[in-house]
Amino acid sequence: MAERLLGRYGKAALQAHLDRAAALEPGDDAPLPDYVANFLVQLRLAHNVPFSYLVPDQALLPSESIRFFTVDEGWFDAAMEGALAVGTANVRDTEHVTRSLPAVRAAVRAAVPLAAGQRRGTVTRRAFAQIVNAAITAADAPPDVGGTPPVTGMLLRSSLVSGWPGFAVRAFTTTDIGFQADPSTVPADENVPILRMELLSPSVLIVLFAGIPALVWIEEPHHGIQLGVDDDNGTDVINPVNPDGSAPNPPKPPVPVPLRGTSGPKVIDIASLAAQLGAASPADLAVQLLRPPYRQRFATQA
Amino acid sequence: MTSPPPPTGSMQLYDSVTPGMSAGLHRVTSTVAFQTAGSTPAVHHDFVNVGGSALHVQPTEVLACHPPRNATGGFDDELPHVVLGRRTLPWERPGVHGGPWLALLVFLDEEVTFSSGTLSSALPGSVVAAFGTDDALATATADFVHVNDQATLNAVLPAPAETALLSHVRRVNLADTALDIGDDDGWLAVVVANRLPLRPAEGPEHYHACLVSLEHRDDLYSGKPTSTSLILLYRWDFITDSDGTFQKLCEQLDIGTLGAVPGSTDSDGRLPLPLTSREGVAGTGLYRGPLTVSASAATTDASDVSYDAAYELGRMLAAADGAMCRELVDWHRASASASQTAVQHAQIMAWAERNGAGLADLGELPTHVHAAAAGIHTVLRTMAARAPHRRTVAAAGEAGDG
Repeated sequence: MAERLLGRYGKAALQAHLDRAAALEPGDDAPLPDYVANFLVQLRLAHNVPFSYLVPDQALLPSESIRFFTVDEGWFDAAMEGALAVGTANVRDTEHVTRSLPAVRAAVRAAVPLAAGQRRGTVTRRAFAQIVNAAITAADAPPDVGGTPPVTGMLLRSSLVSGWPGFAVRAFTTTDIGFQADPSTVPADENVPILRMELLSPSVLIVLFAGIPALVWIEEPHHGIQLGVDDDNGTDVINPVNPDGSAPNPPKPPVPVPLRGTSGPKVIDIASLAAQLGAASPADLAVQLLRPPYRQRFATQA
Repeated sequence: MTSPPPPTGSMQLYDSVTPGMSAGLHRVTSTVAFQTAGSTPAVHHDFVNVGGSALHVQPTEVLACHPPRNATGGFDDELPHVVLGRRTLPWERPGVHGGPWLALLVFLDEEVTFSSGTLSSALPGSVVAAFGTDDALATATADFVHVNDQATLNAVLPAPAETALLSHVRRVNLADTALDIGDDDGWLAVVVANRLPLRPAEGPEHYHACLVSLEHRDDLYSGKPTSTSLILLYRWDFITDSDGTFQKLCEQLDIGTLGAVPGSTDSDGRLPLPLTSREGVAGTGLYRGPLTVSASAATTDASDVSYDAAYELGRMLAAADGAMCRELVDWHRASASASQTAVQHAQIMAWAERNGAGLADLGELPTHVHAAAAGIHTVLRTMAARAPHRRTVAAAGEAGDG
């Protein structure tokens, strides 16, 4: 073949051919297309996986239940391998897949934590695929995937899902978070990022975490932050707060809510309530009436 | 208005935001100030009508209402309120005694009736007269809420001083999607009701939350009210029930780990499923989904079809995606042409070495390329035997070896 090329085109053509070969990637491999890289990561996050594959028996997830789980990476490795088996027309293609598989698998596994950024639009599909490809190229030997955090998650099947759209789920690596703590004050390394949070059906929610949470919150949606009263052994009361909304120290005694009249509709005597709370203006009164959204905590047992 | 927005997760509260001009007819007077002997320059008058409907609040102005529209639940410790997108809306028209013109009243279903028609069809003549003689207003259709008896209205209607206390303005950070509720400038006006819904002892209780207009309604506070009808600007319904709050539902959740169905799954959380083998023999296969209790599902059990099912599913999902198939074929093709070039490179180098042609070597090529150059067909033929037509179950720990 070299003789033929040399005889027909001369030494310059040979050298040009060599230059072309030199321009190839060191691994002599074409980069994984953007679409494929994205497809594989989505697959690893169980996108488009039919519900019966995830939960093969209804008894695993009864209604009004919450179930925590760990993701079996081997299962998704197998699914990924199946996806890559598509489009192989001949032995060369299957050999190509077999050869690339370890590096692709490791790169896609390592890229899964970035999927959260991609869903929020902070990482573009193109950039994402470049990260995967860089990881493939760098992986001469299959990298140790033990370093990436395991993917865990929860499934919630409840009328909470359909009745309170937009409720918040937060996960932390420690149970040492106060009951009314402001999540923005929690150090970043104590947060467990959410990889996927999506409705699988109107009443089933799946949440995937990048790591193992010790504490998971479900928080009532903030829609319009509610206003209301507190219940103190059957009596409606207001627990006074400071004008800036913070809890007073020492706590002030609760103020019973004054009602108009004695029976019939439960109408609050707003003027009297405002006077008792020392709230002279609408904004002052609103601060006192604000209710923090309810939070349900799920913690690992110490 | 130019101060920076509050940080994400916080909000600022304001008593009110009054518009620069209230609704109504305004006169603009302009004169020129110079003096000549014997004459003064003409004074020019212009009229500007600041509008805004006195009879309706557009549904698009209402960003949120609580309790949610048509929701059922125990809302007995929550004050119904409505969130408006235009921050000046409650103060754009005069209410009673200088307060806001909007009030949110909550009624039981049996306490009120609703109708629609012209102003004069429902309101006393003195109130209609106060709205003026504008023809457009006189013929416009409005919605009304009629309270069945005077006592109920008196019990629910906030006092003039209270109407001011029940409206406020919030400012939130637009980046905080949990708080801004889809607003476009981060400023929201909130009108709160003064009535707590009762939790019924049994059966659901139907409530109407009515945003009404108090404009020109001083008669309601005069001691001798003439009408129990009010202009209804916006309305939504909700139902209180003996349970069904977020908290109640959360507390009643059945908590556990995904995995075991008593009497059905085995110790590894695998579920027996009916299975027909390739030979047509009916049997039982074991399947476990990807969401499990312990991450290591590794097993060499031949009846475990979990990973085979995963492989098949992955294949079907990819095959069902046209773009995915196309990209994969392109990827193989690009790889084939790249390796072909590399093989030719190795061949040429080998030839050059034999014949001393003196070509510049262009760097290291992977060993498999040289191997391929030496006999790619032989190599591929031996590999064909282990092409992954059907994936055999491998331990998860060694799944990385290919």
